[in-house]
Amino acid sequence: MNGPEKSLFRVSLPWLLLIACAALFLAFRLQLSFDLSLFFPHSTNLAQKILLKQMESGPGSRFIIIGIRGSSRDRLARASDRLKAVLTDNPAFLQVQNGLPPDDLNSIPQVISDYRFVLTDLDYGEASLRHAAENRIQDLSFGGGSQLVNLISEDPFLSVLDILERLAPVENLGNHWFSADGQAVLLAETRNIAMDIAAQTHAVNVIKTAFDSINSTTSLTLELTGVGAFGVELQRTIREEATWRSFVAALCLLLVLFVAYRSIRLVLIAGIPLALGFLVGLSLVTLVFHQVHGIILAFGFTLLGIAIDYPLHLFSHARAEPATSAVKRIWPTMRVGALSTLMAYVAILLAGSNGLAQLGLFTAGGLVAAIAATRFWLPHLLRPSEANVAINRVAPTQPHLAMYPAAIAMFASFLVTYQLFSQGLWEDSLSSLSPLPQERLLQDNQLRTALGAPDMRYQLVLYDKNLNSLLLKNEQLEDQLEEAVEDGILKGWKSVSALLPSTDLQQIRKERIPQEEELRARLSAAIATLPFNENAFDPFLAEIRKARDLGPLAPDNFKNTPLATLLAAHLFQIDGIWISLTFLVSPDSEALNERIQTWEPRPELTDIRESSDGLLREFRSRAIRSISVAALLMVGLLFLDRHRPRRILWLALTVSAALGATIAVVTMLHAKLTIIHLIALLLVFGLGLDYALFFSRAESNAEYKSTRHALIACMASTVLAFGILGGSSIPLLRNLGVTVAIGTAISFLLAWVGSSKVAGKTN
Amino acid sequence: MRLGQLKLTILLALLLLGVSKYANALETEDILAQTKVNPPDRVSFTETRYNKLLKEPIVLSGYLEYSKAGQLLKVVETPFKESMLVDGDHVEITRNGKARRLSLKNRKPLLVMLQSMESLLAGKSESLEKSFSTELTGTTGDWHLRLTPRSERLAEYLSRLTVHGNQSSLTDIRFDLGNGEWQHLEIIQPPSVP
Repeated sequence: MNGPEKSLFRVSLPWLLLIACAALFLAFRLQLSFDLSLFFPHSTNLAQKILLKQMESGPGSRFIIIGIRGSSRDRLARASDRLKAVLTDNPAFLQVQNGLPPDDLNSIPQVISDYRFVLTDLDYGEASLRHAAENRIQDLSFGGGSQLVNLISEDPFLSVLDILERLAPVENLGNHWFSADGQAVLLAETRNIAMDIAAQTHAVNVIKTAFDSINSTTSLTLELTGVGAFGVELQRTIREEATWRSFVAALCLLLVLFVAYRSIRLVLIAGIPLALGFLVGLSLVTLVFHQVHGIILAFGFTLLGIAIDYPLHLFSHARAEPATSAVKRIWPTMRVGALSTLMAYVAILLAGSNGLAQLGLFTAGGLVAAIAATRFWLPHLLRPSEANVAINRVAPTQPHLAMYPAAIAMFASFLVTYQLFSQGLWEDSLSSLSPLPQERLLQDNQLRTALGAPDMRYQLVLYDKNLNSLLLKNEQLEDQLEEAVEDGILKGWKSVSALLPSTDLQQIRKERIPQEEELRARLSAAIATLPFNENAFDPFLAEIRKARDLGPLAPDNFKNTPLATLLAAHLFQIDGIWISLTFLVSPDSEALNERIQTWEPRPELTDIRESSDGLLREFRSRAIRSISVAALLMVGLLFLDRHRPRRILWLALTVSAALGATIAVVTMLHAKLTIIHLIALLLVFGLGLDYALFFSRAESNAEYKSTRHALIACMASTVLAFGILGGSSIPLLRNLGVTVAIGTAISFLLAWVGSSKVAGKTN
Repeated sequence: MRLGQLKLTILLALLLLGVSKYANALETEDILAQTKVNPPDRVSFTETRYNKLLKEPIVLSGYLEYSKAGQLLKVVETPFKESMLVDGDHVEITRNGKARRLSLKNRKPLLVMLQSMESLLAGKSESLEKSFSTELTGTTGDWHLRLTPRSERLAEYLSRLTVHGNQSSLTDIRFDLGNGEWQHLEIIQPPSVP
């Protein structure tokens, strides 16, 4: 008794050590991230890098858009004012707007008042000074108080107000923003970037608390959208959905296993490869990527769930013979199946996005650990007494492999898909990759439209190695843009020029300022007929003197000012190249694109949607390439494994028919396929091959029963687990779950129907 | 005796004075009630404004329209056209055909100033008393009301508000601002009805 116990301990020791190490490592090093852009593809060209940069930290990404509904327009407007007032005082936000213009003259950033005379084109001629002074009389007749009086005496042109108006992110037309469906809309710019989920969670909580404080009658409802708000929501949804869905999936799995094997001990042992795979996979991802995306936990674990198949093969076969010999008997088939699945996972790893790479590494690493544990550890854990001693030593028979079921399925699914292909099979919009429900994205769009914010979809891109050359290029565009506005091609634009003129233009503007004595004389002449004091504008002369002595305005001047984020939205560096973005208000993209072909310098009109769709197309073709290579390798593997050509043909036909039928069914359900479907299909490929391999094995009748028993258990557990995932509200999980569940069922059926044991006869 | 008579005369005179003063005791509430403007109504005005940048005051003319409680429209017709609608704690300024709406929440003094004008016209003495201490002199036919801000913060901006009126209406309102600015609004009689 001591002997086997001791050897069991010796066999188990390395595995237990591995588990302990992985668990310890994870306990200290595991860090989760909830970065939304993780599943976006690695970018290759400049436009795509700009796109991703915009998504990660662009100005739009800092905005939390707030919608309030549930009352009359008047009450909503008042609620909007109150919420704005409460949030404005909170340090979590840089600014909060609701459509009414900001009204505090105190809030003029120092950098703007210091540099106002180089930020605008001013005419210091007598006539222009007189015109400005006349307008100021009108301003003063409203009695703006000492603030306005001082501002006017420093700057009769009131150029700061013009500058601020040009910098405003949205047009404040003096009315509260309302969405088409009657929600009051506010825009809150968070201090921290969208990817800082902790800060975003705080900001969202601040908004919710503020909203509760103004919502005394509780009749109003709050809606938050925007990249940051979505990140927070995703974190919560993943936690909630992942927790209960994996719990339910695990329960169902245990139930299937218990029904199949009637032993709690076996059910527990079946969990070992899965648990080990999970720990190893997670450790590998942590080791390589430092951070693990939250969603990896949610569905990486489920993808790995097919590792439960391996112990099931073992258990079913061990019912008829000792586990150690049973495992040797099924190992060749299991190995080929596992290798094919591994190839599929490696294809995911190489598919070209950080998130998918994490997922691929997690599952590939986990799979290797799981199959190794099944082969080398688990047989020792099964009690010898559980094996039936009377082994049927009948020579194995080749099953009859029929081609027609697969051929029929293939033909039928081809017909179905052909109908649907005409509308295009693939959905390439980036939102298809979003883990958020489509409905939330629509809400976001609706609220954004209400803001009349510059179109985030189209922008003009210019770039140059030299910052000043880039700024000059932007200035050269101004006239052409103005012309485009006059011709109705666009309604307006926001460019870096409003914030940071080139040093050349700054110099020109400075030189335009007359000598002090000259300016004083012009000023006196200008206001001679007006009711101004002779020395009313002395502060203006002092400001001009200060401005002349200032060094040129540079990006660094904006550091730690409220305008830093605005500048960063228009101007940034990627790989040492300066890039400027000009945001367009209501552009007619086609006409504009045609128009800019003649412009000098010629900007690029980037379409966020177009380039993101392009990203996905490229991503997809790369994924398909990887998969094709994986498929060829699998066929090669089968040849190497010395399978009969007829069997290889049958395998290829059955597996591709299963895939075709899955595509047909899923296309009918989901209209178009996304990258996620592609990954799911990849998985179906591996699973289907596994089923087909086992069903086409040469084996005795008794063994065939074991095989069928194992495959039914495998299929049932996979269909159940993925079916539960398929019920998720997160599109990503739903698409994956539904596709794998359907694909698994079809693969099983085709492999089963296509292979029949010729009863009791030997080959 | 003579001394006693004199004493008595003085006493009587004082008493009489006191009585007459008592009889005529002016109450802000009553005064404003008699000059109260009921919406909708419209009165013409000329306004003189002065601030430190100016060597001579600017003179504006136009009308005040009190269309409904809480809403006061001030329209300047000469020397330029401009209008200002005070609506709760917002003000909407229309200049060159463009309307801009401003919240006055962060400009408490201006808000108080504009609201006090409305309170004066509407005869809301209570709301005036909230922000100002009042001092009323003169007779019902010719009275002066002096309003001094209660809060120091307001006083920094608006040092004094002086209102002058007769039996039936306000005749002028003068705002003295903390920085030497002042504005003097004269209401032209009789009020013209829109």
